[in-house]
Amino acid sequence: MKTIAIIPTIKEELLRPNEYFLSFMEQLPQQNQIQTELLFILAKQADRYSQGKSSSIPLDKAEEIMESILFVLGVQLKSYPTTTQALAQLQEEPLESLYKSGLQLIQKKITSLKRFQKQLIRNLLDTPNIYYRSTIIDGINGFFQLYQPQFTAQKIHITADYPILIGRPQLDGIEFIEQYLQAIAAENAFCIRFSSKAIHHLLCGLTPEYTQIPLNLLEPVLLSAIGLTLVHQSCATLNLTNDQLIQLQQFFLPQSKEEILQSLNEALLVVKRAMNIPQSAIGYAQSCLPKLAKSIHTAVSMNTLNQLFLIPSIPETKVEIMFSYEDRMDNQSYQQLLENILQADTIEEKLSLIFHQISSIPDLFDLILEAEFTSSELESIVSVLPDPVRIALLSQYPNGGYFLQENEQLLYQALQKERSHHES
Amino acid sequence: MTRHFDITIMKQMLTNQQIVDEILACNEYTQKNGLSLSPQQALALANTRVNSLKETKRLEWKSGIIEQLIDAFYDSPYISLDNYEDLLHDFITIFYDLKNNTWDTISDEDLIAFMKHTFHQYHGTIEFLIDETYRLSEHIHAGGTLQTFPKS
Repeated sequence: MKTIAIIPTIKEELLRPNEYFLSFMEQLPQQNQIQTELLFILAKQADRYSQGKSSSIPLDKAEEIMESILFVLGVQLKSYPTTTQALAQLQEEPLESLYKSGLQLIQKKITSLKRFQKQLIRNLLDTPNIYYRSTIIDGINGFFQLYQPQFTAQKIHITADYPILIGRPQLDGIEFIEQYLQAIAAENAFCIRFSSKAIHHLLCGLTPEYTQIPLNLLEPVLLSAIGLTLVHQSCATLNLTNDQLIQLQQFFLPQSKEEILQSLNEALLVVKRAMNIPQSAIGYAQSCLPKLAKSIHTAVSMNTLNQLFLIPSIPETKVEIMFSYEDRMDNQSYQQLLENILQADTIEEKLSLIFHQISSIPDLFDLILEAEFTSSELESIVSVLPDPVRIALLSQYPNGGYFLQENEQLLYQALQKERSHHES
Repeated sequence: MTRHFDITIMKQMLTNQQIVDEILACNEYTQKNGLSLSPQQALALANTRVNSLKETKRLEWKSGIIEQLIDAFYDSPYISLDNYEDLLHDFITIFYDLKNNTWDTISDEDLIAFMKHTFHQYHGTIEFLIDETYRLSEHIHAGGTLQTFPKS
């Protein structure tokens, strides 16, 4: 039985997650005995480090080993259900025995995290963002290769480039990787409920170069889904329009941060049901909402909501589309195309049909007037048209204001909106 | 993480008195070669050890280096009672410097064997031993090992 004086409780508010053992020890009245035991563990570990071939090591290496020992002991103390039980163990067991248990616990965590990572990779979101895949596969594999709990249990070794929405865990070693991987898994579980193409187009709305940028993928997806829900649209397509963005601005404008958070929480539950998102991902998303509510509150006051809620862009169609005033389709092909477009379910399908089969501006103009596109569909079509085609369509309405059909009016509005978007 | 934990208290693990006692215990077998150290000389050597560790920023968790140096050199034909203590001070300093400069790639035992061999090779001239330690360090820095170190 050791002789640490019994103290009533450990004040949990004084415990630092990344310096758990030290902050635990600081609350004990008799620290000398623990320090002595720590030094004996250090001596043994230093001897193992030098493989028994040296009786001294550089001070910085000794400090690193001591940090490792403190980290391992912290992991062990955290494993007890309460701080009272942790304190009891600290009083009853020799420190070296706790240290050995901590090392075993870390070894179990390594094994279980390797399995967890493999499962995650099997269901990984298909995205061209290089940081997502490389961090989860190469980065985490690198960690497992370099990690030495015996001597550097507190080290992370890798840069962990992919930024998770909840923020970088304020932890070290295996605890950092554990929390980081769990956060990525929750983000991945949320994102894979949406079409990877829709996510790609959404992120292209930020910049087509997003593939080369270490950016968080969940934030735009989550916000887009919530935004669409708040304007009573299906969230699956992630295709917010400028009009809907204005509606969101008006919706959030009178709300306080707390009210915005409440709105986001309610919308998230609708998204959960609509997309059948697992509870683990929803729990994680909920924990990120206060941060997003704060950003939205600021963005609304600065009228910069478009920087948070992205409008999708389809860059691959932009570069491929070529229109001329010749090469009109024969009547039968045109009618077949019109029928297909009317039967298509999503705007992506409609865009694909248009841009693969039409190459003449007069055909495009006729189709736009006859295919019964909605206002938001017209905005999507106009947003991917090359500038000369947009100008050609706009030139059909030199005076504006007079339209033979309702669709002409919607087209004119979409063209004007795109023009003002370009000018701003 | 260790900012709240002063690792240098490790020094308390090996008190100077322990070291002094171990040095004095060596007199038992060095005396047959006419070499012995007084308690004051032993304390001075223990202090040199502490200062060398401090200067080279190293932490030692077990004793025995001074004993090993005495054991390696006490039967050297180039050591007499006149230079015994002075040379031990030099050996202690050289040993910890060399440990650092060879990036901890050579074991204590091999390093002491190298020092003994070189000291004898240069007929007990400490300056030549120091020069050779520089050459060994450069060799290690260039990717070599003690085994591949060319003898001059």
